[in-house]
Amino acid sequence: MHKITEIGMELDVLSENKRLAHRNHHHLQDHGVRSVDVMGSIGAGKTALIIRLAEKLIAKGLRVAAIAGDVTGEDDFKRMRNAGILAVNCNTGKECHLDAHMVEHALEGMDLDAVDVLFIENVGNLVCPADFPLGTDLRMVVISVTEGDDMVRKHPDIFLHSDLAVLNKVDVAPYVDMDISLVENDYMSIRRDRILHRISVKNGDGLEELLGALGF
Amino acid sequence: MHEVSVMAGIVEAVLKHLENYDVEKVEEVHLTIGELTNLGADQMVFAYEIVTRGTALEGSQLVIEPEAIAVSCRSCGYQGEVDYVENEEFHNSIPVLSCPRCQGSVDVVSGKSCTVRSMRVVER
Repeated sequence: MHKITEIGMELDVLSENKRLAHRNHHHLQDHGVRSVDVMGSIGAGKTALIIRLAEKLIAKGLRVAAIAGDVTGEDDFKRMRNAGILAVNCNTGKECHLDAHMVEHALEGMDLDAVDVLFIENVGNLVCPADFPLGTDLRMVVISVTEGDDMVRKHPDIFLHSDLAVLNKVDVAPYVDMDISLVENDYMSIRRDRILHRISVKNGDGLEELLGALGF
Repeated sequence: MHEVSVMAGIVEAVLKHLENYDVEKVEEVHLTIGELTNLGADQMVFAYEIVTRGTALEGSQLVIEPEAIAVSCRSCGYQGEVDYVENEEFHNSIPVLSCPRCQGSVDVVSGKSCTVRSMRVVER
C-alpha cells in the first residue's frame, strides 16, 4: 500500500535577490553612502534628473557617484561622467532590470570611501525592476508627462514598490494635453501618505523640494 | 514577467529537496505567491508544465495560493490587511500601501514573497 504524505519546504524563491540586496545595503551603510534606486520609463529623464541632482549635491560639497544601468551601450555612463559624477557603467546584456547581484559587482569598481551619495539608474522599464530591490536606502520612480496621464493606473506595482514618485517635464504638459491631476489622483489613491513630485529637469522646478524628500 | 526563470529556480530547488526522500511520485507542489510580486499565476502554471518536462515532477500539479498583503503602520502601530482601490479605471483591484486606519506610512510585512510551502507525494 502506497502512502501519500506531505513534505514541508518553506523556500522563498525570491530570497536570493533579497539576501544580496541586504548585503549591498549594509556595504553602502558601512561606508556612509546614501543610495537611491532610480527606476522609471524609457525617456522619462532619469539620467538628466540624476545629473541635475548631482550638480546641486556637488555644489553642497557632497561627493556623488552613479551606476548607469542599461541593456547595452555607454550613453548614460558618458553623460554622467561628463557631468563630473563618479560613474560606473553596468550593462545587463539581455535583462530588462538591474538586480542586487549586478549591483554588487558594479560596486566592486567603486571607491565607496570617496562617495557620499550613490544614484543607481535602473533600466528604463515600469514593470520588472519592481520585484528586484537593489539594497538602496530609497527607491524612486520617474515618469514624464509625454508618456500620457495613465501611467499609474497602467503600472501600479512599481508605484507601490517605490518610496518616491516623480513626474518630470511638467513644463511640457500644456503641449501634450496632459492632465497632471489625473496622474496625481491615481498615485495618491494607492499611496495616501505620499505626494507626487512635480518637477522639470529642464527649468529646475521642484528639484529643491525633491532633494529635501530624498533627505538632502 | 520572469515566470520561467523563477520557475526554473523553484523546480531545481524542489528536485534537490526530493533527493532526501524515497518518493515514488509527486502529486502536488504547493506555492504561495505574494500579491505584491509581479508573478502571474497562469504564467507560473504554464512555466511549471514546461520546466518540469523530463523531470520527476512531470505530470504533477502546481497548486498556487495567494499570499495576502499585510502591513505595519509606522505611525499608529496598526498591523494587518490593507485597503483596496476598486476603481474600474485600474481594471484590477489595487492595494493601497498606506495605513487603512490613519493613512500613515507603512512597512510591508507580507505579500512580497514567492514561497514553496510543501509537496504532496506518494512514498515508495
